[in-house]
Order: sequence, then structure tokens, then C-alpha cells
Amino acid sequence: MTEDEKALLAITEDTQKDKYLTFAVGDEMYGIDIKAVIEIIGILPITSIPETPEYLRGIINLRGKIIPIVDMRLRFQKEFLPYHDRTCVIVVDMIDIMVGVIVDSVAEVLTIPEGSVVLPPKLKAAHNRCISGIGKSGENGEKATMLLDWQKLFSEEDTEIMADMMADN
Amino acid sequence: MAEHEPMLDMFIFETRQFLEQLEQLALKSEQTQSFDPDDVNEFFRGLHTIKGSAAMMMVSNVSMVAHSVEDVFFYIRERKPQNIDCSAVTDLVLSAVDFMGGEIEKIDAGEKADASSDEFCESTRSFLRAFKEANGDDPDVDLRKVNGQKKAAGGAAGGAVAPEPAKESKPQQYFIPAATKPADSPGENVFFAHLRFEPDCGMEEVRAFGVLNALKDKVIEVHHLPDKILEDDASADKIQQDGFKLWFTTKLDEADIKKHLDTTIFLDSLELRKLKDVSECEYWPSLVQQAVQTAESSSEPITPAKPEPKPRPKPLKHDQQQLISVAVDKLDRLMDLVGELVIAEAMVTHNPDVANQELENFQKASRQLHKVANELQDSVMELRMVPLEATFMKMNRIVRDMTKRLNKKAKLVLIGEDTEVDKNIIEHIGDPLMHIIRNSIDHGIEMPDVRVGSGKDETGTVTLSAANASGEVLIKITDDGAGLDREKILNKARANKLFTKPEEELTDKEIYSFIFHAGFSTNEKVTEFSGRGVGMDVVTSNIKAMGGTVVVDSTPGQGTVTTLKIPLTLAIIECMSIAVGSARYTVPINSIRQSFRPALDQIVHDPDHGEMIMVRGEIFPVVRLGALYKVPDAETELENGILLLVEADGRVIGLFADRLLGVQDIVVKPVPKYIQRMSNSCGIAGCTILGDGSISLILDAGDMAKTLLS
Repeated sequence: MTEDEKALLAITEDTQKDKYLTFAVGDEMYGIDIKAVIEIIGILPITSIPETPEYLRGIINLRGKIIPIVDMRLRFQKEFLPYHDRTCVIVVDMIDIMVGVIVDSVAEVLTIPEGSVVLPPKLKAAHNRCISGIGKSGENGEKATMLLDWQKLFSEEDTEIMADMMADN
Repeated sequence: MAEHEPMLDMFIFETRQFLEQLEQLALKSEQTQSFDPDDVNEFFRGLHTIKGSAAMMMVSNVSMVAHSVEDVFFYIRERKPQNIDCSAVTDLVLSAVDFMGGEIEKIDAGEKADASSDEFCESTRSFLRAFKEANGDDPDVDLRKVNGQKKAAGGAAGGAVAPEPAKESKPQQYFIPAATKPADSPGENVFFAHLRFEPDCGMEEVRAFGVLNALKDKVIEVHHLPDKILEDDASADKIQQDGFKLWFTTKLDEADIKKHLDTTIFLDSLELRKLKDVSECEYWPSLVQQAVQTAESSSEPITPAKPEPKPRPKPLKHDQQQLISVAVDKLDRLMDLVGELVIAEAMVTHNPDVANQELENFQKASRQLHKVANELQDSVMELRMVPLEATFMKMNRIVRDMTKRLNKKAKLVLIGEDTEVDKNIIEHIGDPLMHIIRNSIDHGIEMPDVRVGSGKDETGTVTLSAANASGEVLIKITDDGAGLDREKILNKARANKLFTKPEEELTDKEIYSFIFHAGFSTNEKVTEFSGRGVGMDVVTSNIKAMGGTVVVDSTPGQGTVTTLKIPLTLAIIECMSIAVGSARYTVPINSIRQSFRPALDQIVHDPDHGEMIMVRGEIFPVVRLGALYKVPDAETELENGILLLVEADGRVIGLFADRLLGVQDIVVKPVPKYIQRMSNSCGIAGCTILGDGSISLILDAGDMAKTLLS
């Protein structure tokens, strides 16, 4: 790799730094690291998988790839809203899994510098665990965006939460 | 596999192919106890190419070994010795193949090929000496040189050895980098280098080639004498006599070049002179000359001194020219794309916008498109199919090695080796086959005297046969040995507490299948080949992983038959699509025993509301898929739906679905990892994309039966 290429790569790295794709689920705004986002698609026919948690809606066929679909409303224990043609699916790529998440609407791409991110208060509620920080944006930093820790959301943490939920029921 | 640059990958791949070919040739020659001239040429070609490319890739030990074995074949080819020990030559070739294979393995793993080739070369040399003496030839005459001189002399002296140095041979260009600019442009230095190698270093031509190669990226233009290094058999001799002369232009200064050339191994003397310009060079063909010479050389007739035309080494042997190798993931990608194409085609031709219109031309065109797309899909699926031949051939080596070591006599007979199976099956089948064949020879085939004593042919036969049987491949390994020792197996099984039911109730087949248990061996002593009880366990686990089965049967005194039943491919299976409410499921067709509309009087209820069905006097549990998978709109009346009797691992269950949708070939895709982790549903083996783009889940009857039946 030449020096130029390295520099170019550093720039592309940089352009994605501190950028978050924000979306709405219910009344809250959430943000995910732009690097994890592959694409945003409309809703596709979903094949449901038996005996999975309700928020795991099933699988879709995205151009020959089979991708699990998670409804964020249900994931965050909100009431189910029927899907329509404006429902968005954000396809994210984790280290070994590709997941589509259904959100109410996709808002924008926000730059939230590291300095404007505060750590969430340590609540005992399980669902706080997948928030890595709260980003402040807007003129006076009055807009709060919950930054999701994608790793935790779809990793072993998830199964723990599921086990908890099962136990609660 | 570690990541390599493409050159190295190509080298590894090609060399492996040649090694495999050499091994097969050697075994064939041993079997026929003769060396066919064509085979010898083939040996020669393979070894020569390995030698050349290994030297180019700076893997000197491999190239040395190839060179030393090549010498032996050179002798065989030139003198056609009558007194030839085919087994010994085969041993030699095989050990060379093993050595080179081991080194290639190391390179592939990103290590250095560092094993010493000296010992091997030494033993080969002494072998060749003994060989020559046995045939009444002077062991000290190097035929290669004799021949080279003969050739250089233009065949003037028939059989006599002309001691004339090979200087008259026409100088020809060997033009390495594509530099077309004038050689004496400013900043370029012109050098003449004269290298001499130590007298006994051997393989001068390969060393010279190495020097040239190392210089390649440092010089602008280079010419050398002798002009043909690897192509000409006489060049080694010329280099030994006259040294290796190089004329080149470079941007580097004298000290750098000297430092560089000094690192050459076995260098005896180095003379480096700076020249003013290229006109001072003794040998510096102009571009025009080069072109003329190239044209001349291509039409050059074969020298009459050699009655046989010399085979020129080619990068690939002739019968493989029709083949290319492609990375499997590229094929998978292609398969995905074709699948998508078929779906896209359906989306266009069944588009609601055109559905209700009379469009004659459109219909015609779309039918055409449909045909082409389907054909494309079929051919892509076929791309992955590979004949079993190569895997079967490898077994020859195992039989040979084992019989030699154990002093037994056995031959391997192959039947149906052209049967094609999917690439991924091939990869998994080699190990199991090897273990079964080892077992057959180690335990099955008796010692020759025992065989003669019991009225059998002295040489045992192991038959390896393959055949297609309704979407599966049947591979049978039959030996005519002593058969399995029922009592011994029983005793061992008793000792290991493997019985699942009373001893008297065990059938012969059940007893024999104990040998597939991990750690089961009736051998008291652990030998090189068996006794640890690992082999047969590998067989079952590998075959099971592919969705196949292993059955062993034996007749005392007559031999043993091991039958492997393996699906043709792991990727494509023939399936029945079924509908349950709005959901669709897919059941592999080979697990369906029958499907029928149940009558109410066949149904039996147990006190716990479990349903069972009586079919021809047999009773099977009924699983309502709709209820199991909580499909809301599933059929609940048994007489309105359909019942599939599915069989797996000897257990049969009845699956109740709404209706059958049809049979189709599907590509199995794994369920995404995330789903696997999150789901605790039973009986789902994978998923597939149907023709209309929707996803269907593949039901695994075996898993379902296992969870449902205790």
C-alpha cells in the first residue's frame, strides 16, 4: 500500500467517524454507528420462524441472502404497529451476523463528536444494557439520541435478556 | 489456508496436481511392472515442471529432489534398461512425492520449506548408480551431458561421444523484462558478469536460473549465455564448463550488483566488469535480431540425433487443458445470483401489470427467457459436481503402503469411479474411505499363507464401488477377507458396556455396528495403522455430518461389506413442499415414506390426547405441524389435510399438513446464526428460497423424531 492510499483510507475512516444513523422507535430517537449499516430497505415478505421470541419476526430473502428480521418496537417492549409501505428495515452487519431491524422511521445521519456523548445512568433494567451512550445534538445539545451498542444488542446479552424475559413470564 | 500472492497460489496448486499425477503414474507402473514410454515422458514432464517452477519460486529443496528423480527417469527414457525394479522406482517416486508434498504443505501454511533434500538426493544418486550398474552401464557417465553434447554437435557423430564443447549452438535471445527503450540511456550502467559455480554443486542450470530471477527486478535489460537455461538439457554442462555469462543494463552501481551476485550459493568465482555501452557486449541481440531468431527457433526442426521428439514441458498436462479451477465461493456466489435471476424472471413475467393482458409477443419472449434461465440454473448446479475418481485413486496408495508394511497381498478394484458427487461431499469422503480400507486390509485380509490354506486366492481383493441410487450415492467397500469376528466384538462390547438391550436380542448387524463406537478396537496392540479405535468413529461422524449412513455386514470367512449411503450433494436436495396454513415447509423427499389422506378410523387416541395412526398394522405418532409451530390458520380436521409418513434413523412419524404443493430441487441454506441462537424450535434443518422468492423452512424428520420420541 502506498502512502497515498493509506492517507486516502484514513480519510474514509474519518468521514465515518462519530457518524450515526438515527431512527425513531416510538417517541425516542436511537442512533447506530454508520459503519455497521449496510443499507435501508422497504419491508419484504417475512417468513416467521416458530418458537422464537416475538420480536424476532422471522427471515427475509434479501437478494439471495437470508437475513433475520428484528422488530425494534417489540424488542424494546412497545406495542406492535402493523407494517406499511413506508416501514423501514435497516440492514446492519455485525462481525458474524447480518440483521435487519424494523424501525418506525429513519431520520438522518448525525455527527455526534465523542465529547457530546454521555454515559447512560446505570439502571438495573435489563434493556438499558444495550445503550452505549447518549448523544447530545442540536444547537444547545438538547436533542438526546440513544446510541445503541449493536454488539450487545445481538450477542450473548440478547439470549440472557430472552432468558430473563422467559423467567419473568 | 494462508493468504498468498497469486503466483505462489498457482505454484502450490499446480505442484500438487503434478504430485498427484506422479503418484498415480508410479502406482500404475508398479501394477503393470513396466514403464510405458508415454508414462515415462509423463513422469519426466511432471518432474521437470516441478523442478522449474520450484526453482523459480526459490524452493530449492523441492527442485533438488525433483531434479534427482528426474535423473532416474532420464536414464530410463534414454537407455530403456531391461533390468528394472518397478517397485523400487515406485518407492523412490512415492517418497519423493511425499517429501515434496510435505514441503508444499509447509509453504501453503505460510512456513518455510526447510527440510533438507541432501539425504534424499544422495540416496537417489546411489540408487541410480546401482541401477545403471545392474544394466551394464557405466555409472559415472552422465547421460544428460552425453546427450546434450550429441545434440549440440548436430548429430554429426552417431553414437560416439563428441567431447566438443557446445559453443556452436546458435545464440538465441532470452529477453526478460519488457524494456524497449535504448539500452544506453543516461543513468544506466552496462555490466558484464561471469559467474562460475563450484564444480560439484550440481543443477547448474537451475542455479543460473535462480541468479537470473533474482536479478530480474534490478536490471533493465539482460541477456545471457547460454541463452536457453531450463529449456536445454545441455545448458547445465555448458554452465559448468564456461560459466554463466550475463550482460545487463541497470540503474544500480557496481558495488550493489557485486554485493548482490556475491550472495549466490555455490559461487566459485565472480567476474564483474563495467562496460561503456551495449556495443561492447559480446552478446547483445538487437530487437530485430531477436524477432528473427524467435521466428527461426519456432520453425527449428527436431535434431536428427534424437529419434524421439522431446516433449517440451508444458504448464499443464495435455488432458487437463480443458479444466480450470475456480474458488468454490465464487461458484456459490454464481449459484446465488442465478437463483436471484430465476426469481427476477418470475417477477417480470408474472408481473401484475402484464398479467391480464393479451400480449402474444411478450408471452413468447418470456417463455424463451424462462427456458434459458432454467437451463442456466441446471448447469450452474452441475458445476459443483466432481467425479469420485481422484478420491478413489488415492486409496491405491493406501492399499499399496499397507500391504507392503504388513506383508499381505491385496489389490484394489475400483468400480463406478466416474460417479459424480458434489465438491463438498468429496472433501468429506476421503478420510472415512481411508479408514475403512485400512481396516479391511489390517483386519480383513489374511496373511497370504492363511489365505492359501483356506482355499482363497493368495492376493486379497478390496473392491471400492460407487453407484447412483435415487438421489444418493452408494459407496461399497467389499473385501474377501476373514470377515468380522462376532465373538470378539461381543466380548469387547460387553467389556465396554455398549449393550442397549439384552445380548440375545442383538442382531448380527447390530453387533457389527459396535465397531463404529469411539474407542472401540478389537486389536490388543496399538499398531501404526489401527488399534486406537479412532478410525471407525471418524467414519461414522463424518458420514453422519453429511446426512449419510454407514452399514456394515459380514460373512465369516467370506469377507466384509461396508456400505456408505451419502447424499449426492449437501447443497441441493429434492424436496416436497407442503403448506400449513399460510406457512410453507419443505421435507426432503428421501425421508418421506408415503403421503396419504388419513381416514378417521385409522386414528387412535391415547389417554393424554396424543394422536397415533394405524397404517397396515403399524402404529405411528402423529405430529400436527400447525400446532407444533403455532400456525394460526392451519387445517385442524384430519380428513381434510394430508399425512406424510417420514422416516429417519429407523423411526417413523406422521406429519400432518394442509396440502402438498409439489416436488422441487432446492438449494439448502443454513438458518442465520442469530436465529439458530435465538430459536429453540425443533426439527428445522435449514431454509431455502422458493421459485417465487419466498422462504421455506426445511424440516428435519430425524431431529423431530428424536425430540418427540423418547
